[in-house]
Amino acid sequence: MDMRRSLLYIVAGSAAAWVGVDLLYNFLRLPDSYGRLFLP
Amino acid sequence: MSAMADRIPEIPGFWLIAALALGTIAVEIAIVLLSWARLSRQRKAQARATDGDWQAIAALKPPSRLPEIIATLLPIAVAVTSAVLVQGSRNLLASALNQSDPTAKVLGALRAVNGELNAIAMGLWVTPPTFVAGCIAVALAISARRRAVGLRRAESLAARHDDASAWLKFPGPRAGVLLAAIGAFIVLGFGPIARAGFAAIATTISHFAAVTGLEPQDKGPIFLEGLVRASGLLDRGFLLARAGVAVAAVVALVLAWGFSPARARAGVPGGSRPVHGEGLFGPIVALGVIALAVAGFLAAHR
Repeated sequence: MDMRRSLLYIVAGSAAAWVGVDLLYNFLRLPDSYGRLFLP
Repeated sequence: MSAMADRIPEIPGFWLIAALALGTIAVEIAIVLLSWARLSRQRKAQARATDGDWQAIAALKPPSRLPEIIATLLPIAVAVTSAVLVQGSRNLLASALNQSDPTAKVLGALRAVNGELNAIAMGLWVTPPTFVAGCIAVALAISARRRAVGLRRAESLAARHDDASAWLKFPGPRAGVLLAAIGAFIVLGFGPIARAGFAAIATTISHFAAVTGLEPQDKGPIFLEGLVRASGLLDRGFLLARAGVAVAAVVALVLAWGFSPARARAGVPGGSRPVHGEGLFGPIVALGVIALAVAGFLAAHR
């Protein structure tokens, strides 16, 4: 595997991890807005 | 343990997600063992070829990409199933809040929120082990495939009486290096956010439990405090996770550069010559992942 290939894979992995973390955060953050529905 | 068993009915899709996660881990272990066996067979063939006997390398089967594809997709399937179950509880909550009967509304909503919190906790329990197992399986499977290709390349060079020493010595990426690079993203990127998710759920549940028996007007502030604390924990975990992804990218770059088999081959005197035909599958998948990530990012930040 040459460096260009490795670099492409690392960019892809970083992009996937970045967005995965983003989606997970947003998903876990939702109980907050749902929870607020209960507030008087 | 019995307290745990009592809670099973409260966890939406418990058996589905448990079976899927256990099945995933079993398949990942099978892929690890298979790749391990392939790598050790390759090491023996490599040693024999160094002594001039190329038969063992010629007998190596070229491993397919299937194990690494399965190893990647299964943990993602566990995560998606878990998310679907959580979303199911959220939909139940929305429909409960639309009911006109106040008692049915409150009971339905409480059951839905309880289900949602349990489903998230369950997801946070079962998904990380599948990703860890998947990460080990993917690293070993890719290494076994790439090294088999490299060894066969060495064999074809030797058959033509060319210098095969560079390919024989450095046939492909080492499993440990791939494991460290992929693992860095999982541990440094997803570790902090999963940990924060646990803490946030625990905080929400404990505040939820604390308001039982209180007067309705006293419930609000305690409940709100729990939500604010949970959000704060998640926000901190998110920042750490973002930094973790950046650190993991640097770790992967350093590993790719430091342990590059192509660079090692180039260092063997008279050995390396460019061999084409590595195929476009990898780069196409990588470009597809980047396109999906950009689309996902844009969708999340509309």
